[in-house]
Amino acid sequence: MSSSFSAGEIVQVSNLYPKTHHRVPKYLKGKIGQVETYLGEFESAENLSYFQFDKDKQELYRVRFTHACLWGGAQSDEVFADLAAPWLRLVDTKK
Amino acid sequence: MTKHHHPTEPDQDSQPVSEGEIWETTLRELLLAKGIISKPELMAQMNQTASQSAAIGAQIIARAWKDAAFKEALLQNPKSTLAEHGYDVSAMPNLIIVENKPHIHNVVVCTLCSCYPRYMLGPPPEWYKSAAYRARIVKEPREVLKEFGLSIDDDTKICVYDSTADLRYLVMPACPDDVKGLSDEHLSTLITRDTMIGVAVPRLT
Repeated sequence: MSSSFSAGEIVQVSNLYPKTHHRVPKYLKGKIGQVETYLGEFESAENLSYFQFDKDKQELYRVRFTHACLWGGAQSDEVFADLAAPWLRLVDTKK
Repeated sequence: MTKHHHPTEPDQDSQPVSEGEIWETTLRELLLAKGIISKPELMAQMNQTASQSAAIGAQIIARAWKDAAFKEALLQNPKSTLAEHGYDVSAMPNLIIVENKPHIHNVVVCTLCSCYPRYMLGPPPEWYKSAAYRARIVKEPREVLKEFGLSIDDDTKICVYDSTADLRYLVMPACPDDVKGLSDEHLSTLITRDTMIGVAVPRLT
């Protein structure tokens, strides 16, 4: 199976707040980052928290967020987080 | 026989049982009674947990500092490289090692809970699990590191790794200059737990 996103692509994290268990920190929701690398397929944290072990796996990506994009300011620092493909949406940068 | 200069400590097991201990005992006895885990498995896991410490991480990083081929392999494929060198990593989650370089300083956090490279470092320190560290290191890393006594130059970028999923992150600190002639043992003492989380850097004292 080919992966949904490629390194370098710009993605936005879904700004969703499900009441159920999920592993996307609030400070990254709705934020725009850049795919750094594809990490492989892993079981979904959402399903595992309800003891559903044999569901389809999800693609996992390490995404880079600039300090400026998350918090404003001119600092060059960066935050990297590992996020599952269903939480990411490709941002069309050609527009 | 010398005289006692301090009052006798109360026995641990004569204290009232805490709520946490009741939960632990109940869960353990249920898991054993239902056959979900066996006593030997429980003992094996307890022994394994007790044997984990930052000394393992320090030994591995010290070797990487001295052996360029090992370092390269470790950064490329941490788990398989460790397995090839005789470490039992069968129960270890996937590991990523991020290398500090000139102008790049790495630091690790788990903002959602307390994910931590336990295999390499043992159990995490209390501050690593605190809401203050988890909330602040992604937002004001320079200030937090300063509070740890680590000033990062303005021309060095701080990369914060938030362990939000199945992988665990470990920092490979940079080797200080002038370590030639130091024994492996001495070298390992420079590589503290905090240098592998990224809130300190190795220093020759």
